[in-house]
Amino acid sequence: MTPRRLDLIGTLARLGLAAVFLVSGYIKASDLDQTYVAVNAYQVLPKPAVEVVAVVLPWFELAVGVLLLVGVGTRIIAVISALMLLMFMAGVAQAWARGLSIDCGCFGGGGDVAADKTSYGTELLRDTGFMILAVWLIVRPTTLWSLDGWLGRSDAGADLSGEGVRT
Amino acid sequence: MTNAGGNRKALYIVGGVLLVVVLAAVSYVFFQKSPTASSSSATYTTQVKGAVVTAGKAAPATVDIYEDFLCPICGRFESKNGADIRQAIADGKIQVRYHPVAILNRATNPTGYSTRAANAAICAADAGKYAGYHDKLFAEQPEENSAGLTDQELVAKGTELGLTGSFSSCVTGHKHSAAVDAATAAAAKDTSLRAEGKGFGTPTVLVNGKRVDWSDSDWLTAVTK
Repeated sequence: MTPRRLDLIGTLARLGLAAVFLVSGYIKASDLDQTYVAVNAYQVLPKPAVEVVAVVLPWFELAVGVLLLVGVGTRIIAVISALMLLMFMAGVAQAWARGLSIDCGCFGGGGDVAADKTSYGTELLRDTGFMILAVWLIVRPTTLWSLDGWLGRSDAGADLSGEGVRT
Repeated sequence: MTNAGGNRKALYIVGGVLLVVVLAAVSYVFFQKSPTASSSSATYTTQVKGAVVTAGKAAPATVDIYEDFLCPICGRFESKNGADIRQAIADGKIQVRYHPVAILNRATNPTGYSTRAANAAICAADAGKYAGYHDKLFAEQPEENSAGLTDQELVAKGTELGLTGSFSSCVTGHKHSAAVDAATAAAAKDTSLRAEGKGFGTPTVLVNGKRVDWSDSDWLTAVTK
């Protein structure tokens, strides 16, 4: 596959992941009480910590989404994205393992649901899909139309083709 | 492979943006008003039909509230709205149909606290003390995956409120438990109680039959204004 084509795949991964975080962050930020509900339902953090996480998380997701969208520090952001996804998956997995009946609240919603209304498997599978996008960008952060390219460098660009500058 | 200068530039931008966002969000948490844990002593009359406790007289707005006494989010809902709801009922602005449901029965060990707590609350309504008992169960709510409360403990909480006599046998005899479980099953099947593609969850709040977003802190004032 040509570097150009790999760049294109990377670009799709970057913009896709950006869309995921922008959408999930926007929904969470526009309904902070519901986000509190969702975070609290995981029963991991004490209540004061839930208050903080429920406010910080949506804005953090939005910031990560914007940084991915403009493509600055793509590899660093991809690492942060992967860590966030790992955290989300750990949260869902522990809820599943402990027999809680919650909705993950990944894209809004969240909280307790009836025991036969959980969908932990689907939620983990979806996060795994997002994780693949993040891992791609960690391995090969060079993408098209990125601020990294505009800044005259990109982590992986130099060793591939010398076409570090891409706009 | 790496370009140290460029790496540092990107790192500064990324770190700066994320730091600002986190600091802004954290300061927002500390500056916003924390939910009031105020209680209300306003009173209202109740009627029991099946597993539904109707609180207050017929009013301009009817509010349906589906709650599980174990659900921590219902506890949050009550700590934020309970006192205002109680006042609005007493003021005749709303009539509330409480639906104590049990979706978290398996989340206690032994299982079944949700049903037993809902049963006890309806027993309290039978004895004319639903408001106080309902508020007490939420204020002293057991954690999920705990033992919950035994029937004896549920009786004791009533005793503290002056519930005596048949309340005790109503609680230990699980007089309303079958009705609670039937109402829970019916609620879980009722598509009007949930968002598209979502399961039935608690708390679910309806105003005049229409599901409302209770996390909007203005939902009640929009009804009572």
